[in-house]
Amino acid sequence: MTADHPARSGAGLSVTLAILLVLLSLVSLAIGYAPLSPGEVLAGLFGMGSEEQQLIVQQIRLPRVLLAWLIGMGLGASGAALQGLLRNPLAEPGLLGISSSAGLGAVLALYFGANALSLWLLPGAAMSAALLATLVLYAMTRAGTSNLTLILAGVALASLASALTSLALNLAPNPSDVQDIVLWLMGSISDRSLDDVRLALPFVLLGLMLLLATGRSLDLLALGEGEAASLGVDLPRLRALVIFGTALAVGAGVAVSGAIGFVGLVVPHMLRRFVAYRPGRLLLPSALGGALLVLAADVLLRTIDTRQELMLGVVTALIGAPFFLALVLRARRDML
Amino acid sequence: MSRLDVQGVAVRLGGRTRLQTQDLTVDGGQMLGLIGPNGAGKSTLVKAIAQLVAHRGECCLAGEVLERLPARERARKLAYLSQDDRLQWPIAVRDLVALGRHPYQGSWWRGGAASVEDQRAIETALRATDVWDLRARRADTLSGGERARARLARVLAVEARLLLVDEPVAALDPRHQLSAMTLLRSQCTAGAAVIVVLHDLTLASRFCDRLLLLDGGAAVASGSVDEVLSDQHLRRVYGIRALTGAHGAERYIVPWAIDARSDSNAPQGESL
Repeated sequence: MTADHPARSGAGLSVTLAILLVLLSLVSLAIGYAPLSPGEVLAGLFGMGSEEQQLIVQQIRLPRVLLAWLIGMGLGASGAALQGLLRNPLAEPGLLGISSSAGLGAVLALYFGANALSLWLLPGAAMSAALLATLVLYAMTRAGTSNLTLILAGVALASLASALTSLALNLAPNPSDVQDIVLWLMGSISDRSLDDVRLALPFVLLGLMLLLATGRSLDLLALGEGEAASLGVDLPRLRALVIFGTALAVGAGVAVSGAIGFVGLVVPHMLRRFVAYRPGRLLLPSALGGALLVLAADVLLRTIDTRQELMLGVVTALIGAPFFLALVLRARRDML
Repeated sequence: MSRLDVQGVAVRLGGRTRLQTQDLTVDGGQMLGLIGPNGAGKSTLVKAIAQLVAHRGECCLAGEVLERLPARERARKLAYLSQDDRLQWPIAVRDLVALGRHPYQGSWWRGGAASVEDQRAIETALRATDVWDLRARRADTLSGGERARARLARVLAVEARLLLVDEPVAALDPRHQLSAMTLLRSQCTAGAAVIVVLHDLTLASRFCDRLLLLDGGAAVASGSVDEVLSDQHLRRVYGIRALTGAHGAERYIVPWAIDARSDSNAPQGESL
């Protein structure tokens, strides 16, 4: 046996993605209403440029970049982990109803005007709802249900959450509330501050740690649940790690950005072949790739001149859906 | 010696008793064949011994109670091959086989790096199952027979003292059926205790030291091949008549016709 070739370990892939992410982040900090040169960006970032440059880079553009990282990492890693856990290439955070439950929490906060009371109420409601959905799912896995039941329960939760969201829209007392809710549901990271980053950061990081801890177990799960368990995989613990990790990473993301779809589905697909199809090795590259995709979508919508700024969730779905369809059509055999 | 003692094992599923077997013993170097019609409880018994389903009773391997061992330690002592041969991700054969070394490897943050000992076990398993030349191939590009051998290699890589193998030859052509059974037999020779679920009665009679015939979740007969594979048992449990014969010291049993009557007038098995 030869030792693992670096190209197959996924380390090279992660380094490449990380470099691309840093470069694109610098681009994102440079472009905008007042374009900055790379030197000015670095100067502004590290507190050496003019006061105006520092303000633009640190206060206006940096939160946007950091949020793109956090949201994308959460979505990418949880997509990869869910696909590995459920042994299903169609799994993604939206499938288990975690995203839509978080969305519902935020919509309820908007509906009852909680936003006017405190800036923390909306994200708090979103995360509470995500956690509630998670606890329901987790209780089901404790009862020893199969992965299929988990998927079905997730679909039911997602439907319930979107029905209640529609109900809130239906009953909204005035049109401006409806507009607030609809815009929020489209997902965006514009006009966010470092407070939003501080709010999401601990939860996303903790979620990512839980998700990344599942790598070996997900590899073994390729053999099926029985054989994986016979090799020492603790299935209830694995399910708990993935579910709670997803709730934290995605719930916190949705709480500050709204619903952003397709990232968790598309990114693991694009990267799977580069890690020799091993589900465990896919986690870190998917986190980085997710961040890269969300940031790229955000840079794109900022460069396209439209009457009203495009919403991030709309752009990721517009890029993601056709791309995904093309992938499916081109390589039906490789869809595994 | 890696002797397995199974005592008082009973499995309840969905509120009813799915399996209740007599005590059984498999010595190291022995192969016990589990036979019986579909739904007889063969896979359930194997899963109970592998500690994959909740059950009453105890399984002792070389004096250690499997139920009480930590999962990781237990994973080194027994290797389980499931009946379901679907592999969700098209990973490479060597990666597949390397998964069998997980119980010996460090924690996740070390990425499960393979030691020299692991490398040796993986290579031995790849060569023993004749998939060494396929080691770089993706599992989804293999034929059914090649995939079955790769999965067996994964089981051998565990280097466990107890092998629990659920229908290893179901999807294989005759040649690969024989090679898979020979391979399991060689594990016995090396000292392992093997429990194998089989539908092919000739393979069961030729390769197993003893047989356990299950029906409806209970043991119907247990013992030597001749005792268990009697015409009466075949009629009663499978509802078939079989042609039986001998080639040298070995028997062959060919299921021949459905036995519509269970009365004593039914013809006895004929010799070819």
